[in-house]
Amino acid sequence: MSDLTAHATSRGRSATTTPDGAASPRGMSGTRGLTRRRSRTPITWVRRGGLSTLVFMLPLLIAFGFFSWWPILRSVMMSLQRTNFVGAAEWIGWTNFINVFNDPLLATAVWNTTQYTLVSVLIGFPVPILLAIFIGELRRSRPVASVLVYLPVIIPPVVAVLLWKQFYAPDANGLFNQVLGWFGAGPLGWINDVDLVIPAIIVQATWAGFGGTTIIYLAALRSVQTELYEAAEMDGAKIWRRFWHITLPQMRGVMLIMLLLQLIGVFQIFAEPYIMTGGGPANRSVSVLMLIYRYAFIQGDYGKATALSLLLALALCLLSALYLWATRRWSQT
Amino acid sequence: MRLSRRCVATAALGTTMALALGACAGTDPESEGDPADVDTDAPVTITVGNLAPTENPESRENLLAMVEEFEADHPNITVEPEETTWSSDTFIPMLQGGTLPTTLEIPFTEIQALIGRGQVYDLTDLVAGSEALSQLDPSILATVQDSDGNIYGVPYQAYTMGLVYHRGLFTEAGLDPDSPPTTWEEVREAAQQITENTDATGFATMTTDNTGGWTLSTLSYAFGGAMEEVDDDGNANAIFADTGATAEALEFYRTLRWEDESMGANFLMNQDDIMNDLGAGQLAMTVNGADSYGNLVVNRGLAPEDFGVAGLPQSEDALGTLAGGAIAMVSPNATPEEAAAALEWIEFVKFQRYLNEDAAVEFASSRAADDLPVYPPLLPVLGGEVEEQYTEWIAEYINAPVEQFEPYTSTIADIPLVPEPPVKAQELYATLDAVVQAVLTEEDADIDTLLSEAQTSVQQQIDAG
Amino acid sequence: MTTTSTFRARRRADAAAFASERSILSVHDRKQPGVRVGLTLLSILVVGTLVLISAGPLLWLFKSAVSSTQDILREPFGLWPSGIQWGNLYDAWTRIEFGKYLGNTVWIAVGSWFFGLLVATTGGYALSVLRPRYGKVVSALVLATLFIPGVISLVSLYLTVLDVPLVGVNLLNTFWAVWLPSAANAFNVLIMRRMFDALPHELFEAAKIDGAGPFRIFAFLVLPMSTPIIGVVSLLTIVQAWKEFLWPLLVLPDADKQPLSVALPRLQETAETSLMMAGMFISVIIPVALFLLFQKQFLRGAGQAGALKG
Repeated sequence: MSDLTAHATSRGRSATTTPDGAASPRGMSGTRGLTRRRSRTPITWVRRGGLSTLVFMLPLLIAFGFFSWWPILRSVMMSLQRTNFVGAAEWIGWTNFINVFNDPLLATAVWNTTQYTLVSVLIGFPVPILLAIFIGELRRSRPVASVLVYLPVIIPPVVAVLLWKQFYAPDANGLFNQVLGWFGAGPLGWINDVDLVIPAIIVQATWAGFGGTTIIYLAALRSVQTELYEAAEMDGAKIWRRFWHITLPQMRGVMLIMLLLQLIGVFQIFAEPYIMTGGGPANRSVSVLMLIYRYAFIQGDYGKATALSLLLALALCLLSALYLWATRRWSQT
Repeated sequence: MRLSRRCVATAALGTTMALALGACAGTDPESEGDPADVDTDAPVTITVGNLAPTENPESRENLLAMVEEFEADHPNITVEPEETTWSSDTFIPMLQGGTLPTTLEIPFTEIQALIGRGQVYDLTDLVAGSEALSQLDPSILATVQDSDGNIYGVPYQAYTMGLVYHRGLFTEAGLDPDSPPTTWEEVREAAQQITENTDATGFATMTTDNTGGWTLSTLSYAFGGAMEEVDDDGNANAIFADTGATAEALEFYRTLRWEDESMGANFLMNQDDIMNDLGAGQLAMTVNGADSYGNLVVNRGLAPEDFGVAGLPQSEDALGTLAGGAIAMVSPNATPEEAAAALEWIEFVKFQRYLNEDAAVEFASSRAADDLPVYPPLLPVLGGEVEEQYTEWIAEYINAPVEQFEPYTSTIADIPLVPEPPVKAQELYATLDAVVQAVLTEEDADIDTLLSEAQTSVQQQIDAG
Repeated sequence: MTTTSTFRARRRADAAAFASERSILSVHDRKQPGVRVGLTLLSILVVGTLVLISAGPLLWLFKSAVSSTQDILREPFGLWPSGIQWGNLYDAWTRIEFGKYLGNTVWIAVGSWFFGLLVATTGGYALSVLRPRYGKVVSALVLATLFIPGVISLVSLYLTVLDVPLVGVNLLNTFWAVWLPSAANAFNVLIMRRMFDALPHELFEAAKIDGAGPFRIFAFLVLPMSTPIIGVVSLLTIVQAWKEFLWPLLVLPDADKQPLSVALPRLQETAETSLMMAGMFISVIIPVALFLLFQKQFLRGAGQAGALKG
């Protein structure tokens, strides 16, 4: 994704091929555009392939127009409206936003989402890195390890959530509680426990997702410049130093990107708490997206739901901007 | 505002069931015309929801047969049945997309919110003009009225909350299933005894999907406290933290959960979970609708002889027990002609059997033939006489162990019916779900603080309109 | 047998490829006895842990799929104390109709794949090769949606699906409601455009001079030259569609249309635990079998996805 923007900006600089033929510097296409504009009539437009171009563009325009651009625009409008879907919508200014901020659950949901994020960074971020580095050193068992790592990703996520819900059964016969029982510990309430519910959900989410990230890190590890290792070896750098001074710095870019993608994902956590706990116990696992869902689809307050969506989107935009900045930065080095 | 003053003038608590202040804020759909202008002979097509899915062929065929019969009686009306059922998350989409059937069955809990948002048809004149429907029990009819007495739906079935229990487990634990607990202290003792003597959980309560707050409200009434109060100026106030009764109810949960440990280990349970546990003999007692017999026996595998239901234990100053039921509503997008036809249909499907012996026998015999439960209505919606007559008609087809309902039916006359909280009931329930869960999952939960915070929160939601 | 021998040869070639490529440890390091022991231990530890963590839950699911409900709940680690219940699988398939939900899931994935690729390839081609004057604006608008998180339009997209503007149709309870919104994927369009940009455009010019129109160039030059990226985008799109939960939950309230992801949590409320496990197992075996068959393609695709994201 990163290079897309990098590409968009670098495009002006590099010579590119135009449909008209010879490679020409981008600067010239401007004048070409001018000459074309002068002779523009519907007939010349069709003859120049304008119509067939439009035909190619049409699927994109339809898909984005109906299902991306218009809904986004409509969201902004709806956040300032009240409607019961029988009569006409009524403009009510910032009332929806005020109602969102007056909801005592908002603070809970934001705090929970922060906790989800923190725990997920703590657990979900280092595991794939370490695993990728270990697997990267393996030789004969590497294919097996790669397949095993990716296996959970293949399982439909809802199956994974339901399976773990079963593992987290709070009675003494629950699978995890039996394991604890072997060590004389427990039983724990897991998702029934106000303090364990978020870590328990994140452990499940990490299990479902670590494989994909590990494989990405493995691919990144292969692109570490091997000359650097050789040079370091010449200097007598031991294994640990090579890891610390070469592997990690070379992986920094991917790591940052993965971290941001993870943050963006966890900010929108929904299915896991929705299926496992419904937001309980005592609202301790309600996420912001769940709150949006409740506003819209349980309480029928679409204005309030879009208002909170806009606020969440704002937070995510900040993360995305950071992400794009990071990708651009690291793809240049 | 003129409109809100009118609301205020008619507002009074307790005597009538629902008092939706929200109703005053809602806009009345323009579509209702004077019934005199409605041409009831003109051809009209209505869509009706709640057709049973193909997995349930008996009920499906039954409804389809009724459609045929109805159309034969009313040649100008075409009825198109569809499988749509009520769910809060699909209602708005159907309304918005114009796919809402002309009439649909919804629970009591939903109607006031719909009235408040102007999303349901005003049936006042149509109900007044119907002989059968004008006999509806006034206290039940009140659930579908706004503060002006306008009628927005047809309640066709009602129930109250009771203590639902597993007779087999009672026997196994050494308790007498014919004399279930009548006080909360006895419930506690029975729960202890069951937990000690069997593998099952003694007592459990629903906690998720708003059912936690619903059950807690029921218990609060039984302990003597209302959830909301409407003052002389017509403002609704959440009062559950102030009455002490809700705190008593929570204290009851707390004792069973943390002192007796007789409530099991799972505290994230919705109605399905609780019903499944009861059906599987893993749970002995819960508070639920007293009419759970059909659901438990048909869908959850409970043996009919294990079903027990008792009147909800009442403390000395109890208000009564919470009442609920089902309502047939009409789409706000319906034309007056469609609404009139829909009401004919509702009357035909829901009430004909109470007024016509052949229909009663046909209904009861076909259910009995399909092994579906047949028993007299626990809570009459059309005055007691009508129901008595009906019970006589269906007597020979009754296949449910009616004597096991006795601990409940014997209390009906004594325990008053209390409506659900009049304003923003679902929001109140949702807020209290979290309180119930907190008490059940945190040993040191501070009940008073939780309640006062919840009350503030509910009040804000009420004030937000 | 030929298949096994080619398989072995392939594995040997793989091993050779791994051996020639270096990592933190050098060939020299690997000859050190300490490192060798350490590596062996690491290998056992990593593979052992992964078997437990990744394969363990799957094996447990299989065990539970053919266990009685009592056994699953009371003795999660017991090996069929009340005997193996093969009937569970049959019952789950017939009584709860897992087959139907599986079919819906596949159908949703196929449609999302088709429309996703249609929009991405034609759009990418128009933006990269045909380049109309308004292309820049379109590109910018598509790029902008990358910045705007999907959650912003969850509610309004839903209302749009209920009553598509201009056309006025209601897509609720149709697969179109899932297919079309998923096709508006900015990431896929921009990836395609970038890949098409990298193709030798002189070739297209030459073809044009030979009289090939834009459709021929698209179908016979651009598409065949981009099969690798089309493969990766296909994989991403299908996996994405397979995982989708919230959106189908909203737009497919009709049980007959629901994919597994939506149907399973609903069924879990009412279905018996043993049947539920059997159903979950049924919904897992197909993707797992596909993965084991095409593991290389999957893993390569997953790695490339990372390169694209990065």
